[in-house]
Amino acid sequence: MNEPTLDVRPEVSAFVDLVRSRLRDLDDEVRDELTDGLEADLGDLVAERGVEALPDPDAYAEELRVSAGLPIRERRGLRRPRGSLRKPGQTWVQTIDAWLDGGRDRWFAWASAGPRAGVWEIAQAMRPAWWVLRAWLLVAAADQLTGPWELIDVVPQFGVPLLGPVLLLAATVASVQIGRGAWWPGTTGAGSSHSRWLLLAVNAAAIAVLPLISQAADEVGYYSPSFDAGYGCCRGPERQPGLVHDGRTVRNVYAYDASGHPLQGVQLFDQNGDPLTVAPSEARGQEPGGWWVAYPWVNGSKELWNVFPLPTRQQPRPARSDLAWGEPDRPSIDTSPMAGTAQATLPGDGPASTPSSSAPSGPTDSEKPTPR
Amino acid sequence: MDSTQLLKGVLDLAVLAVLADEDGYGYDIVRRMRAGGLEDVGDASVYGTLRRLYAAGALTSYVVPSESGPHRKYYGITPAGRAELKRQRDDWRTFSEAVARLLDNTDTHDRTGGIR
Repeated sequence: MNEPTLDVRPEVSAFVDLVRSRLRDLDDEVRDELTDGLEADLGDLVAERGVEALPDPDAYAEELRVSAGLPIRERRGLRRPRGSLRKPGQTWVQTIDAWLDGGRDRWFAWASAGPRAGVWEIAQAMRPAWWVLRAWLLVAAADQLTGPWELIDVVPQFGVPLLGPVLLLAATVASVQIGRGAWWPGTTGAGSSHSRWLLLAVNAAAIAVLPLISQAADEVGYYSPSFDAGYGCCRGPERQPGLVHDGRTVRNVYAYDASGHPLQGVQLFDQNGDPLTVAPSEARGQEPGGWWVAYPWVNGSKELWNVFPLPTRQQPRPARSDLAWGEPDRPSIDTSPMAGTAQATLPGDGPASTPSSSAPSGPTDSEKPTPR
Repeated sequence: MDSTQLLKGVLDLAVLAVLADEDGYGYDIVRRMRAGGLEDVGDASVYGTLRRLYAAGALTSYVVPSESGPHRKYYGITPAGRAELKRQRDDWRTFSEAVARLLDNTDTHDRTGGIR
């Protein structure tokens, strides 16, 4: 086998990788046998005559193959001169594949040369991370496309219990298996070309949705219900985020002025001037048929969770949508729990200047304190 | 002269001959062949030939690990390989003598203005 060893020049190992990739159609055993020890031999060649002595990997692989008496690979026209245009008898499938092969070769050559080689090696080592990420990206994008655009959850919800986690798991397994080369249609004939294009398209789509998703996912860890659920069991009251009253989470705050009128846009701070915020992850709740979700007031792009009451709206999923304010069912400040409350005065000031009759009636009206 | 085509026919023989005296690894064998006058031999051709002769039982192989670099794969000749070497060497001598004789004749005709 070709275990990576110390002191293999990156150019050499990249070249051996290219040669091995040209022998993909062979059995693993045959290919390993054919390329075993190649690093050492090519290392000698490079040591003696420099990196320039490394020949064209296509031609090299074909020479290895032919002299070893193995069948010549027929697909993808690898023995055609690079960059050739479509030739008589060559199908468009072969033309496109040859073009893709050429692009890949140029990329490998560029990426594995000089100082870029180290970066390229790290990038290659991180391929599994990409397999997982692309599965998540596509499932998250599908989640968005099947409903109103909303903030992203770590586990997409799809508005149906279990569907999100199951789809995410299935997509991750499929993506990893494809990445490992374990699940992919045959390596010969036009089918493999089509599946290759499909994979390219899938990767391109995943990259295309990346900026959209990442913008919305900035707050993922903060907002995610699954994140909260995971810690809910062990979280003491003192660690509970946001406003808490008698050990219970405060989800919204309604302020009234001294005469008992409801107020909008009240900004709350504590004795140190720190904002008294509701935890964004708590400012929502499940109800039959969906969720009620609170949205923050803003200062420019900064979300203010200490300005009350928080506007809310009903929606099918718990995640907040960036576009909520542009939609017909935009969040609104819902009716206060009480239309009004009793008027309040400071001791010694006498009754408030506003007559009590002007205060809207509320459930506590009967307990209205009488002026001293 | 482009000896690539000629080399293909005698690559097995040349590789066996180089290994008859002493085991060697890929690039070492290439070097010995070039030192012996086969300047145009391609390393991939030699490596492929080594694999094929190994698969046919004419060669053995063993791996020599290196502390500072990739391991080296050495090849040595087997008794079957020696028998093959002898057979091919005899064939080659017969063949090359025949070709040499033909060429000598052509040479003579040329000088006498015969065959052009």
